[in-house]
Amino acid sequence: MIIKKADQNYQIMELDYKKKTGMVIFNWRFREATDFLVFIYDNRQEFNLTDAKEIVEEAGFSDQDIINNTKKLVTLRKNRTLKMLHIGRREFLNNNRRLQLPVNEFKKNIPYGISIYACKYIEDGKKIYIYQSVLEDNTCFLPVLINADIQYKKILFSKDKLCILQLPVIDGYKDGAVMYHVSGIVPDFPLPQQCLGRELVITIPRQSEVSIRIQEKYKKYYKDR
Amino acid sequence: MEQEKNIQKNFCNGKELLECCIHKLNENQQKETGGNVALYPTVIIMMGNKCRNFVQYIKNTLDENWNNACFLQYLCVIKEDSQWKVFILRDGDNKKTYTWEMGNINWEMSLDNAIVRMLETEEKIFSSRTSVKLEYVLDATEEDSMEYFKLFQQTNNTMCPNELKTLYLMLDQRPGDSHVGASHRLLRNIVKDNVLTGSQTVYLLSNYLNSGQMLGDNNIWQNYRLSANLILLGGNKKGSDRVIQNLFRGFKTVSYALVTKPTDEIATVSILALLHGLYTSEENKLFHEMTASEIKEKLQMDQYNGFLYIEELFNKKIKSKFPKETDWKYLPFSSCQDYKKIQGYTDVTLEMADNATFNAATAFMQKHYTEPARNFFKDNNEIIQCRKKISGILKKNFNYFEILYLSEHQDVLKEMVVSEYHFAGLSEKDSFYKRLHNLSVYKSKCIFYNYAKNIIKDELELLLESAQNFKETYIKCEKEMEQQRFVTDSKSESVEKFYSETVKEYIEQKQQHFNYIPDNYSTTFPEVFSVSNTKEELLQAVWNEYLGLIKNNIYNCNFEQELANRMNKVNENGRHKFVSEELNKRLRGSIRIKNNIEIPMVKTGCYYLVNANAEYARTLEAAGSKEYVLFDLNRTDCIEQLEIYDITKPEQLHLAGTGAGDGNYDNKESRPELPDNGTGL
Repeated sequence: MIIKKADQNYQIMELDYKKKTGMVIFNWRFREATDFLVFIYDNRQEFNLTDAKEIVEEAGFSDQDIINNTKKLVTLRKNRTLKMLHIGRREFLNNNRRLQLPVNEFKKNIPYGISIYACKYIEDGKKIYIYQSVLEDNTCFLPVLINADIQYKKILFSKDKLCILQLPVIDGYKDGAVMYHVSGIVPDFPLPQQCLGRELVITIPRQSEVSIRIQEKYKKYYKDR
Repeated sequence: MEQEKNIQKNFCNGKELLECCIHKLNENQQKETGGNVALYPTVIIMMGNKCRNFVQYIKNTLDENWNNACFLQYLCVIKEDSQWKVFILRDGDNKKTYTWEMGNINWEMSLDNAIVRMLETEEKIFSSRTSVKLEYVLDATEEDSMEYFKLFQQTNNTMCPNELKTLYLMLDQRPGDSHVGASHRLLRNIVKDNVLTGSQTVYLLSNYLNSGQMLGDNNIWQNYRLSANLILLGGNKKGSDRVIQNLFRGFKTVSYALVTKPTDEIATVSILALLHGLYTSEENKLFHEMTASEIKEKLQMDQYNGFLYIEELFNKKIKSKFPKETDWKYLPFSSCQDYKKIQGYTDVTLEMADNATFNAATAFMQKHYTEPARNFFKDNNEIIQCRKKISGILKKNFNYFEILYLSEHQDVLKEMVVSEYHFAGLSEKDSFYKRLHNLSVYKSKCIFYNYAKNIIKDELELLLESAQNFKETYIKCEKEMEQQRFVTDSKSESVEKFYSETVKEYIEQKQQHFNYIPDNYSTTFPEVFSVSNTKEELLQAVWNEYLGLIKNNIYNCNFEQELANRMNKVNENGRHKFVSEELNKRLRGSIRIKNNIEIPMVKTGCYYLVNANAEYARTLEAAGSKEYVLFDLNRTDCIEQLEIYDITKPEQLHLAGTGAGDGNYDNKESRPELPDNGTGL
């Protein structure tokens, strides 16, 4: 596999996804490509094409192997955070420019990043030329859905009420990524790791409600309901 | 002058400033309007390339003294190949510069046209139109000089047959064939046949004076001014016919004494004294021991080691966006009991709050208090603004001399600036949320100050560096001017003493006028002593002060007043005697020719050119002597005296054997003195 500098013709554009009946369906546009390589990884860890190439080579995949034997997702790392898949141009076009992957390929507590590269496979030399991306148009994210449990309890003879908030434990959680908001109060309250998996008691005005918010910079990792 | 103050002069060095100061003071000298007018239509004809550049000295003198001088005609005739090319003098844009414009008609026609232009003027402009004066000026070293002389001799205008022709022949007695050799050859040819007619006069004006002094490039202009004086004397309406007759016919030479107000030296002394005086007087006033509390006050520091501007900035940009104190009530607690317990504490800390909230208290503080403070200084625009503001405050609050003091105590200063910001403390009566809010504000402010104090420290370092640079620049400018003074200074102690004192008084007056009160450590001259001044800005600021200084009447008074001011211990008689002696001293040796043998010369007239209002003029007039003629000069800054000599035997003139002409300078005694500008008193 040879990494080539970004070429305007070999670019992935408008990569997007949607979930439907147990499948995650990706679609994108392109100008030129004989094949596409799809990398799926834990988004909290840095991903770059050069590292990915080395991992592929370390895993013993020749260029021909990639073309022939990675029609389904293959795990490249033991901790299963980096997976790869190859899809040919004809197959992609025949499938109405779509790539379907089963939902169970994605673990619930891990925010995933998906990067797709346009490739040129030269059959004579059995070489794959993989083109770097100019922008980040070739990447999309599958954030973790945060399911917060929010309950309220009245306090007798008081203008306040109690809110019992509980969030699930999230692997690799970044402190403050998830915040709660009390309606009528301006600032959001960021939650550190220690607050996850516990019942939190918040005294709020009787008319107020508590909702979950994701801090802007973590929105590619987490998503509130 | 106010307008002038705003004009950027763009001086690059002290030399340029000094030159401009001299020029400005000369320009400022008063000239009175007199009642002199030219009697005859007069054409001034500059012959050849060499002398035409000196026309300004003739024209300026005539313009200053004759009310109808603007009607006089100036021509330049130059021999090119076998033809005479004629140029007409035109005023430049500012009336102070002149340009020669090429004429398109021949020489005779040009001369006639020039005369016609004067005859066409109103009757009152020239009282006598039956005669015309033609004043020729020729440099004897001009190539084809004999041709020029023939042109002088042979040209007759067709308009006015009664013409009075005078040639001012500028002889060059410097060694060499192209100097004394050329002058000698021309003179021999001229005198050989004694060919002058009755209406022709030739004035021999050499650069080698009888005393042995030689006029160099710097003061050869005197001979051109002398020509103009002779034109004035010979063509003035108001004058004695008898004496004026002595000015014409045959070969003549002149001795000439010019004593002027030493304007150049006054300007030099004044600007140097100003530059030096400004520094020393301000240093005496402003350089002082600074106490720690004084420094803190100027830094605008409070008792918590905070800075007024930083506080204002923090309050405006950071504190205004903090959550309300009561927002702390909505922290997530581990239980109702913990919430109640913490409400009961009077000494609640962030650690205690963290224990009860699974660290949510610190997370809240970081997000809403400390992070904005940190982020503020990640914005380059904010940093630039902050630096600018701090720099401005420091420059405003510390004068240059205080900064010099601080640069000697940098360690103390830096320690003071970077000292830790203190917490104002909490009240026991405060609710838990108010305490947590105040603690968070303090933490935020500490972070803010960490960045801000580094900026203050950097700006102070820059300021100290600027002050050192300013000091070096100031000294450099002073040196540049001192070096120049070495060239121009005629070592007149009285000028030095009097004008240094005048400058000192000016500075003191300005300091007093500046609402001087003890312990007021503001500079009287902020434009000069601004540490951020570049060299050009510093020179411009000093120039502006100089313009203020020379507004003083002392700088604009006439020759006699100036002398009286400067030599206040000498009475009027003493001053007159002094002037007479100076004139005589100069006159004796200033005959404008040095022949190798004593040639017979007859003194035919003595003329004083002096402003009519001068005491000296009144004294001369009162004496009523017939030995001299008084000419009312419009200029007030000088006194001139001329003596006209007839050269009765011009054939005896022999320049080449004077020691100069032979190019033989081996005998030191016969070597001419170095030219100087010694016309000032």
